[in-house]
This record gives sequence, C-alpha cells and structure tokens, in this order.
Amino acid sequence: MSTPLIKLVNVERYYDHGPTRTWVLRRINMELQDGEFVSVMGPSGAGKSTLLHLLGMHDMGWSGEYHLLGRPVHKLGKKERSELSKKHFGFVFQSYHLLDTLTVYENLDIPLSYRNIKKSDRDSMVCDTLDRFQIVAKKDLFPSQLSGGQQQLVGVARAMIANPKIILADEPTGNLHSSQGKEIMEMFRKLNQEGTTIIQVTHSETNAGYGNRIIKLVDGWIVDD
Amino acid sequence: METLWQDCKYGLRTLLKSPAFTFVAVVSLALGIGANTAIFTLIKAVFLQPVPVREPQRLVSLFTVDEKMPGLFPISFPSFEDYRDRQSVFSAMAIYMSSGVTAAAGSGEPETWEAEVASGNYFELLGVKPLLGRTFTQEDDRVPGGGAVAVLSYGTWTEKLGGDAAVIGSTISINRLPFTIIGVMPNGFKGIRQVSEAAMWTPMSMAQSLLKTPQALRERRALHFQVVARLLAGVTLGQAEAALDPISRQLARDYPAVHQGRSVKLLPVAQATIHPSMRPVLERAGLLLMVIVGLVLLVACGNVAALLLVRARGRSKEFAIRLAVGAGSGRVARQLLTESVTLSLIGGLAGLLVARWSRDLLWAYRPPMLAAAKLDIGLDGTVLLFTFSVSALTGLLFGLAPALSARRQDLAVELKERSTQGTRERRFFSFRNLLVVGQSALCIVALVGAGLFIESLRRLQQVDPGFEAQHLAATRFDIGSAGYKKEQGLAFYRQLLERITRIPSVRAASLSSIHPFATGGYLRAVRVDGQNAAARPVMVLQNNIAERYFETAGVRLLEGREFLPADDANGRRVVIVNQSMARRLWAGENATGKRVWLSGDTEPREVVGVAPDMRFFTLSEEQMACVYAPLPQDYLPLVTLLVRTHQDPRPALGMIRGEIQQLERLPLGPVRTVEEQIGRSLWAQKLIAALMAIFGLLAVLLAAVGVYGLTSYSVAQRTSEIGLRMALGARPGDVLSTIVGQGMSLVAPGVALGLVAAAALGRLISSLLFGVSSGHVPAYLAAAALLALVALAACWLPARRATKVDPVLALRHE
Repeated sequence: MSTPLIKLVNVERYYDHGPTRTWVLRRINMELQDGEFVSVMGPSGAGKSTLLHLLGMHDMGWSGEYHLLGRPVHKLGKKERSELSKKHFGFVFQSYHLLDTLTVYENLDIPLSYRNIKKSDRDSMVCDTLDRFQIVAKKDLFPSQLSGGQQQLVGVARAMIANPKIILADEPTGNLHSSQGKEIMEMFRKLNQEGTTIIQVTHSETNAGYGNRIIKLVDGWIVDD
Repeated sequence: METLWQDCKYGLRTLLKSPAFTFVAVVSLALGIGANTAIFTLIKAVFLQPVPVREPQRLVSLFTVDEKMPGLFPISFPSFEDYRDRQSVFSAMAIYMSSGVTAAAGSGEPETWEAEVASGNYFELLGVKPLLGRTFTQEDDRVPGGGAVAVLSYGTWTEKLGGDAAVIGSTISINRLPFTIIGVMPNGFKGIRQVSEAAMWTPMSMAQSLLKTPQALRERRALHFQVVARLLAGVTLGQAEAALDPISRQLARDYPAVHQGRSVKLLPVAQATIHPSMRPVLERAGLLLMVIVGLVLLVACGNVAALLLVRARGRSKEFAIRLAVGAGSGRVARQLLTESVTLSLIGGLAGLLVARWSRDLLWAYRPPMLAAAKLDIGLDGTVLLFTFSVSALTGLLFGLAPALSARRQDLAVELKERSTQGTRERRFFSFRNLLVVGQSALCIVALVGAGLFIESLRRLQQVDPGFEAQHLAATRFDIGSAGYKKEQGLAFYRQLLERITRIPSVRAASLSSIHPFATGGYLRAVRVDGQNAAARPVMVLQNNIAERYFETAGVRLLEGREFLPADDANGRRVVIVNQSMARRLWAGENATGKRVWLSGDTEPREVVGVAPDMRFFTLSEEQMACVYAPLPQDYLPLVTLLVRTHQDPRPALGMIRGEIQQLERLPLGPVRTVEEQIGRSLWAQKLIAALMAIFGLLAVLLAAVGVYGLTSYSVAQRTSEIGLRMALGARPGDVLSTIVGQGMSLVAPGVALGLVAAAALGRLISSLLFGVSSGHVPAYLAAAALLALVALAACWLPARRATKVDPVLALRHE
C-alpha cells in the first residue's frame, strides 16, 4: 500500500484555563489518501476547525503524530512546518479573508511574492489564474467592490495559485447564498477531479455530497468515518 | 528589493486608508523630528561647520593661561614675537586682532566695520585663496604705516559695494585714511571664527591707525591678540605644547612681573572658532536643547508606537491571513517595519517644513550679539542626512513593538470564524501601558525643566542692578575712529556733555567706558600702596568715567565724592572704588584716603570715594571688584554716553543722537534705554525659558494625544462590557470614573517616575539656573498638576463617549 498523504496518530489538542482543561480533539487517528475529497462534519464546538488548522500547521500546540507524505510533522520545527505548509496547502475561509487594501490581482500575487517567485513568473501565474477562474475583468477591483460569491471565488483562486497539493476549506459556502455556494462547490469538484485533494469543514449535507468521504466529529472525538 | 518596494506600496496604501491615524502620527512625528532638525541646524552652524582653510587639522590657536586667573586669554604682541622666534614646532605663526573701524565707501555714510588686522603671512598660513585680486603678504606688512591695503569679505563686497569686480584697485576710506582694495575673499571664509564675519582684513603694518589701543603692540600685559599656527608635519598638539613650555619658563624668568605663572595652551582651530569663554556656555545650552527636543521626539515616538500597537490589534486578522497564505513571520514584521519607516519618512518630510519654519523663528529671535552673524543655517545635505537618519531610526524604534507583537500572533485563533474581536489587554505591564507611563515621565522631566527656567528668569528680572535703570539712555561711539587724539577727544567729551545737558528733558549726562549690560571695561591688577611688590595683586574691573557719572546712574556714593573737573590729566591721580573692592582690600576700614597701585602705573592713586556695587554686564553676574578712574587720567576714545532724563527717555533719543552728529559725523551705535538693554542682556535666559516652555507644552500635547488614543481604544474594546455594566444598573458616573480611573492609573506612576527623574537630572542644569535650586518644589508641583489636568481631559473625552453606549446595541455585538 502506498504512503498516505496525511496520517494522524493519537493526535490531541486541549486548552488550559487556570485549573481546568478543555479538550478540543481526542485521540484522532486517521489516514487521508492523495486525491480524496473529504468533508469534516459535526456540531458547533466539535473541533472541526481546530482539526483543519492543525492539518494546515497553523496550530502548534497539539500532541501525537502527524505525517505528511511520510514526513513526521510532529518532529519538525516551526520554520520547517511553515515551509511545508506553504508548499502543500492552500486555504479557503468562510469569511473569504481577502486583504481589503489590495486589488484582486494583488491578492493573488501576494502568496507568490511570499514564496520568493520572480516578478515575471508571478505575473504570468496570476494572469493564468485570473483566466482559469474567469475573473480577469475584476483584477483591478478591491474586495469591497465584489459580491460575496466573487470574493470567495478569488479566495479559492488565491488558495490554488501556488499549485498546492491540498486545499483546506473552512465552511467555504457559509456566508454565501445557495446559488453562489453551488458554484464554489462545483469549482472544488473540478479541482478535485484535476488532482487536488480537498478537505472541507461543512455543516451542509449537500456540500458534503460533493466529496467522497465524510468524517464526523463530536466533542473532539471521531465518531464516524 | 522588488518585494521591499511592494511592501512600501502596500504600506502607503494602508496609511492612506486610515487618514485620521496617519494625520495624527505624521503631525506627532513632524513636530518631534522638526524640532530636532531645527536645533541640529543651529548646532551644526555653530559647532560643526568646517573651517574653510587648508589642512585645518594641522592648525592650532594659542591662548595664554595664567595661574592667577581661570580661563584662556589672548596673547600679547611681544610674547607672540618671542614664541614665534624661538619655537621649532610650527611651520608658521600668524597674529591678528579685531577692531572696529570707521569705513566710508564712495560717498556713502561712514559706518563701523569690523576689521581684522593681521600679520602679513595670515592668508598664506591659512592656505586660502581670494575670490578676486590678491591677499596681502609679508611685503605689505614690512613698513609700519606702509601697507594701506584691504582684503574684503564676500559679504562686504556684495552688500556694501554691490559685488562689482571693478572694486579691485579702488580706494576706500578707513578711519579717514585711504586704503586700496586688493582682494575679495570667497563666500563662507570668515577667518578663524564661526559666528561672526570680519568685514575686511588689513596688514598689521597699519595697526597704529586701526587699533583702538595701538600701544598694546609694545605692552606685554596687553593680552589683546589672537594667534594661529600651523603644526609641522608629524608634530602633535601635545608635543607642540610641551615644546613651548621652556619658552614660557624663560619668559617668566626674563619678565617675572608679567610672565610669572603664565604659559600657553593650544587648541585645535576647530575648537577655537568660538571664544573659549563662550564655548562651554553655548555647548551646554546646545546640549540642553538637544536633550529637550530628544525628549519631545521620544514622546512622539511613544505616541506613534502606542497608536501603531492599537492599530496592530485591529489588523491582527490581516496579519493572520498573510501568514496563512505563506508569509513568514519575519516578512510580516518587515511589512510592519516598512510601514512605520514609511510613516516616519513622511513625518520627516513634514518635519523639514516644521524645521524650516521654527529655524527661521529661532533665528529671528537670535541674541543681539548675533544680530549681524553670518551663520550657514541652510537645510543642506548634512541636515537632510540627519533628518533622514532620525526619521528612519524613529520609524524602526516605534515600529519594533507592533512588529514584535505581530510575530507573536496565534494564527489558529485569529483565523477562526467566531474569534472575539481582539483579546482584551488587562495586564498593567503591557508594552502599550508602559509607553504611556514613559511618555508621562518624559513630559514631567520637560515640564519641570521649563518651570525651573521660567522661575529662574522671573527671579533674574527681579534683581536690582544697583543703579536707577529707569529714565536712563545710553549710546556708544568711538571718537578715535574719527582721528581724535587724547586732548581733542577730551575737549569733544566736554562739549558733548555740555550740549546734552542743555536738552530740556535731560537731568544729567556722563561718560563711561562700560556700556551697561553690553560691553566695555577691562581687568587690571591692583596692589595696595605699601604692600610688598611680590605680593599677589588683586584683579579688578576698571571703568573709566566722566564727572557726574554716579549722579547720572542714580547712585549715591557710600563715602567720599564724585570726580571733579580738577581730577584732570594734570591733577592728583585719583580713583573711586566699589564696595566689593573696598571690602576686599580694606575690610572694616574706611577706604577713602587709601592709596593703590594699578598695573603699569608710575605713581599710586588715592581713593576719593566708595560706590555701592552695581551689575555691569548681566543681572546674574557675581558682584565684581571695580575701580573707577577719571577719563582725563585714563583716556579712552571708545566710550558710552549715559543720559538721565526727567521722564521716559525715548522721546529724547533722537535729539541725543542729533547732538552727537552735529559735533562729529560718527558712526553711532543705536541709542537705547538702559531698561531695554537689560532686557536684551536676558536673551539667553528668555530664549531657553521660552524654548523649554514650548517643548514642554509640545510634549504634554503629544502625551495627551497618546492617552486619548489609548483610552479611546480601550473604550471601543470594552463596549460590550460597558453595555453589560449599564444593563446591570451602572450609572454614567460609574462608567466615567472607571474609564478615567483606568487612564489616570497609567499617568500617575509616570508622573511619579518623572518627578524622580527630574530631581536626578535637575542637578545637571543647576549651574544654568539663577536664584532657584534644581529642587524648587513649586516647579515640580506645577508640572505634575498640569500633566494630570491635561491627562484627565484626554481620558474624560472618550469616557464621556462610553457613558453614551446603548446597552442593547452593545450586547447585540457580543
């Protein structure tokens, strides 16, 4: 059997509040294969977003083992984790989280500039992405001049621009009305069909239906996979 | 580089998106950086301007050191000749002396110019070339009276002679003698001086006609001349000084009466451009001003840092997004630093405008002695470099805190969709709170300093000068420049006093070699008659006066009488002494009738009166021992006419001037009231008090903005909490006191810290204060009260806004 894309072994996360300890994730064991489209579901406070940020290496304070493409993330330092995350992950957020002082073009350019890619290469990559997501006409607009759906489309484009292996999406359609949400989900399906692994957190059964695997969390425990 | 430019571009855009924040920050920085630039411009002009001569590092100035008197003094002409002929450490030595001369160019009115009379090798030694024509040489200095040539300064050439190149070869009247103009020096050449500029240079061969006291050329006691020398290659200043010591010892053996205890000290020429007696005072004042404007800049930095920290909290999500899309924490910190440096550079640019304006203002209020000063106070490359460096450093300084705070972000928390709007800062020792404490402390230091200088000035203005300054006017003139010799001069004085006293509004008039609260007088060694000739003489100030001097000054003699017409050149040699001198020489005895020897005298003089002590030059001076001699017995051509009127003397000033001009067309100094002159003598104290007050208030204003910003932020952050408190029954007064109390709890320790720091630093300025100790409690209380009041107002405004919070709306936010 091939090496899993992601493997978690007994991963746990908790927060201390004075004398009390709140558990957010408990003994998480799971394996994700390359090319999967996974939906993480569960009630509020179940630990879905925490799991997503843990996978994206935004969260450092967990215990257990985390292997990414066979590399033991739990043994890596902060800088190496950051490099690994930059290389393999793209993020899509519920509130889009575009930088509102930058234009659409600049929002797409900024992740590339953080990867020290040459300006000429960046320009062609941004232009390709604008084309691919059909948002060329919007390139000089600021986020506040776009609809929610358009903003999220830019958010997905930004996540994809550095050609990541995995997209982590935290309730990507949570702030959109149904038709815009559908458009975004169709986009995810297309990306998945093109080879990108998608891991989304969602409350929506419909959105979960776009994927091929559902992991259910309750009170930090995986109750169904 | 490209990403740096990108950071700058985005930073600029971010700043433009928050115009209120950017405006407050830029104004804070502009005031701080502008004040520093303005003061630096003046300090650079006075202290850091290079002397425009060849290899200035090898040029030294020579000064006399005397064991009997502290300080550095000029050199006598005979001593210069001895050192010049016997030394082996200089390639050349030149001598020069400044003297006011009466100059008339073409058919113009005669004017007083400052001429520098210098030895023939002066220009060659300095290694400077003229702009036009030639400089004088040893040849022009060979025959006494035979070198009537003049080299003009650039300023004289352009301002007095229209900048016409044809002046070379033309004649100009100096002290009524024709001088040929042979050259013009380049712009910026002032000789060995920084603040003022000589109008012209002439060879020493013309000294007899140009110096006020030409007898000084032969007098070893007359320490009137400046000497500059060029060190031989490889000789250090210390070696040269050591090599001159044997010459000093030999001179002490040859002329013990004068040279006993004397030696020479060398100063690099860069340090001699300001007179050594003035330099420490100017240096201390400059340092004090730099420290104060430095404090203002620190307060401004604290302000901007606090504002940026507040803003950084508001932008925490943005930083989290940047990190999430791949920025390293260093890159985010760099982005923030770029923004703060961009901000500070904009502040620096605005600061240049503030600096230009405040420099012009400062220069407009320069002291009377600098009225005609030619200082290079342009905002040149050095100043721009200074401003740029200060701006960049400032940006790094206040940008560091937000940049460091951005590095400590908890990414997962910031990016979670329902994370609260920023965590509340409740720690007292947070950096933001400490900034307010620090700002308050710096403010107190600046305010206490201002209070001390204002009180010092107030006390100084209350000092009794020892004479009736009211209804007294004075003007100075030099009859010698009109070619008058002693007899003619004395006749002129008699005639003038007769004419002046005939003016109806005039009560009395007299003459004095000291111009009250300005200049004049000289030091003289005095020995009591009968005392051992080897005994150490007492140095006293000598003032040569005409009859009715004390009546004119409004002073009643303590013993004896004023000088009479009989005290003339043929009469018995007499003096009047002041109380300090009488007490020093004959403590507990009557001074009248006693006899003294003044240095250089061939017979003793009898004391005919004792006058009360007066202040001669400044209100803060120590009472000086003074001897008054009758002008006919100690003739001087340069004197001050003192006129006492029945009422305000100002209407009579024109008539006084007219009477002098009718007798002789002399270049006259301004005719001023002595009260005005006393006011002008306080320029330094007034300027420092005014600057300290301005900078102190500026610091308070900046700190108020800081406290206001922080309290406003705190109110905005606690809106839900305030709403909840109000929903639970808190009254507006409760909310008001909570918010104001929180703000004041930061200011109070700052005030305490500032008071302690001010007490510790106060000792450093105690020597600049008059009649007030650095621990003057009211200054400390006033500073604390002022800052507390302003801070209270700064807290109250946002607190009042907090009382208007609608609990329903506030809780819905939650």
